[in-house]
Amino acid sequence: MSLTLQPGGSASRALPAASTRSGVVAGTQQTTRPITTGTSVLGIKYRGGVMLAADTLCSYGSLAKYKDCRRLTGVNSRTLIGASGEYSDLQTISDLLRRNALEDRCTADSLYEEDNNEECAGEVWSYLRAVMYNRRNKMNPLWNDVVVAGFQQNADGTTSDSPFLGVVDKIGTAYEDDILATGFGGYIALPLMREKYRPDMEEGEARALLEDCLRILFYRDCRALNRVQIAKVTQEGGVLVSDPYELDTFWDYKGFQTNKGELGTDGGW
Amino acid sequence: MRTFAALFLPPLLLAAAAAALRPGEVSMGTTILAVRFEGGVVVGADTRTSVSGYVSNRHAAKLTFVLDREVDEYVASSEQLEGVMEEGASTCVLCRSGSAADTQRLASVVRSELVSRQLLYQIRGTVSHAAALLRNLLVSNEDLSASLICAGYDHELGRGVIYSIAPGGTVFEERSWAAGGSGSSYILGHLDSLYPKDGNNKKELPLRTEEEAVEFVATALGLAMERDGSSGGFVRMYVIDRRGRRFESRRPMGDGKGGQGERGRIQPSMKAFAPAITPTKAATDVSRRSPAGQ
Repeated sequence: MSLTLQPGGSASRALPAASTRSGVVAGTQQTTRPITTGTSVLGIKYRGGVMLAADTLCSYGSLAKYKDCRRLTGVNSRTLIGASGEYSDLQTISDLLRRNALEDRCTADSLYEEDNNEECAGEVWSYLRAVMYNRRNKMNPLWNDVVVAGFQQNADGTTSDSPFLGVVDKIGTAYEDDILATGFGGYIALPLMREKYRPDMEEGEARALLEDCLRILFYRDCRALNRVQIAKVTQEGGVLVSDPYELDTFWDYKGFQTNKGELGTDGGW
Repeated sequence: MRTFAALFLPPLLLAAAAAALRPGEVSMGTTILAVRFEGGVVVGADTRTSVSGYVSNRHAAKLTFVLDREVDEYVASSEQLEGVMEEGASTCVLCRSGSAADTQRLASVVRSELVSRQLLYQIRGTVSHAAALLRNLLVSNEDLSASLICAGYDHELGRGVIYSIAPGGTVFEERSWAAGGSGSSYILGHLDSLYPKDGNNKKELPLRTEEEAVEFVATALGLAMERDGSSGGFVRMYVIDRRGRRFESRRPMGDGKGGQGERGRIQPSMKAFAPAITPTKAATDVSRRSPAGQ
C-alpha cells in the first residue's frame, strides 16, 4: 500500500466531492472498526443556552490510554460540537468544520464581526449529516456520533433566540432534541436527564445535572473517566469550553464495605 | 480473561480458544494480586465486574475464602474431631479472574470438597490441597475460563504460600508475588522494579512487615485500575497469617499530579464559568440514591 498525501490535508478526505465515484480510492483503506475511542457525550438545553459535557478519556480498546483528550470543540463563535467514537475521525470533522468557518470568514462580503457570516448550528448539523451519509454510502464511515450545539439564525443572519441541539451518527441519522446523549449515555444518562429536565433550567442546575450523569457514567461505563469537561453556548457569551476537572465519587456505602466472600458471613460474591 | 493477544490490541476477532469467554458471559476483567511477607500473605483485588463495557457490579468480591480457621473450627466442633484442631489451621483465599460463573463454581466445589474431607477423614485442608484440587478440576474441564491465585497461610508448610493457576490447569508456586487478570499486564513493570521475582535465592522475603505489604498491594492495584478499563472501584484486601484473616479496603488515591484523572478523589475547579445559581441538591441530585436493595 503506498502512502499518498491528499491535497488539502486531512480534512479533504471528508468532503463528498473529493472521493472517486467508484467508492474506494486506490491505495487507501476503509474504516472497519474504531481503534482509539471516546465514550459518551451529553447535551442539554437550558434557559439562555445549550450545554455539552464529556469526559477526557480516549481508550485504546480496554486500555485507558489518553486521559487528556478534548472531545468538545468550538467550530465558530456560535457553534460547538462534541463527539464520541473514533478520535481521529473527530479530528477530521473538527478540521473540516473549522476550515469551512475560515473560508466563510475570508470570503464574506463584510469583514465586520457583527455582520455575522458564520454558519449557525443548524447549518453545521445539516452539513455534517450530508458528510456522514455520503461517507457511509462509500462504506467508509467517519466512526462518530457527533452532537452539535449552538443557536439558530434569523433570516437576516443574526443569531436567533432559539438554542439548537442536534446529533448526527456514523450512518447519517440526524435528529434534534432538548436532551441528547451518545453511547452509554443513551442508556444511563438519558433517562435521568429526562426525569430532571425543565425548559427553564438555570445554568447551574443544568451543569449539576450533567455532572451527576457523568459521575454515574463513571461508575457504570468501563470506558469512562471522572475527569470531565463542560462546554456551553450562550447568546451573549458565545462558545465557552471549560478546562478539564475531576469529579468526586462516592464509595462509602455501608453495603460496599461488608466483607463478602468470607465464609460465615452471607457468602456473597 | 481474554487471550494474550487481545490484552494489547483492541478486541480483534478472537480465535475460538478453549478458555475464552463465551458471548454473553460475565467477565471479571480484573486485577488481582498476592504478595508474601514475613509471616503470611496479603491478597488484593479490584471490585469491578463488567459485561460488554457495562459495570454490572461496582463492589464485587473477587476474594473468596475456601479455608477459614474460625468457620472450620466450628465445623469440626464435635467430639470425634477433637484433637484435630490442636495443630494449626490454614486459611486459604482464591483470587478469582476470568468468567465470574466458572470461578464461583470452582470456589464452591473446592470449598465443599475440603469440608467433606475434614469431616470424613479428619484432616485439615491446606492451601496446597486447594491448589491441587483446582489443578485437577481445570485439567479435566478445559472449557472453564478461570485464572486464579490461590494464596494463604499453609499450616503444614508453616508459612505463607502463593499458587498461580492458569486456565489449562498449570499451577506454579510463586516465591514472592503473583498478579493476574487483565489489569495485571500494566503493572508487571512496576512490580518487577520493586520486587524482582526470582532474586538471588535470598532467604528473606523482600517485604518484611504487614504494613509494607498492604501499601504495596494498594498502590499496585491503584495503578492497574488507572489504566485498565475492566478494573475499577476500590481495593479489597485481606491480610492472612497463622492467626487468621483481616479485612482492609482502600480507595485508590490520585498521585497528586493533578490533571491525569484518577478514578477517584477530587477538587472541582471550573474556572471557565461559575453557575448562575447554586444548584439545588434536591432538584438535581440523582447519584445519591441508595443502591437498589440497600
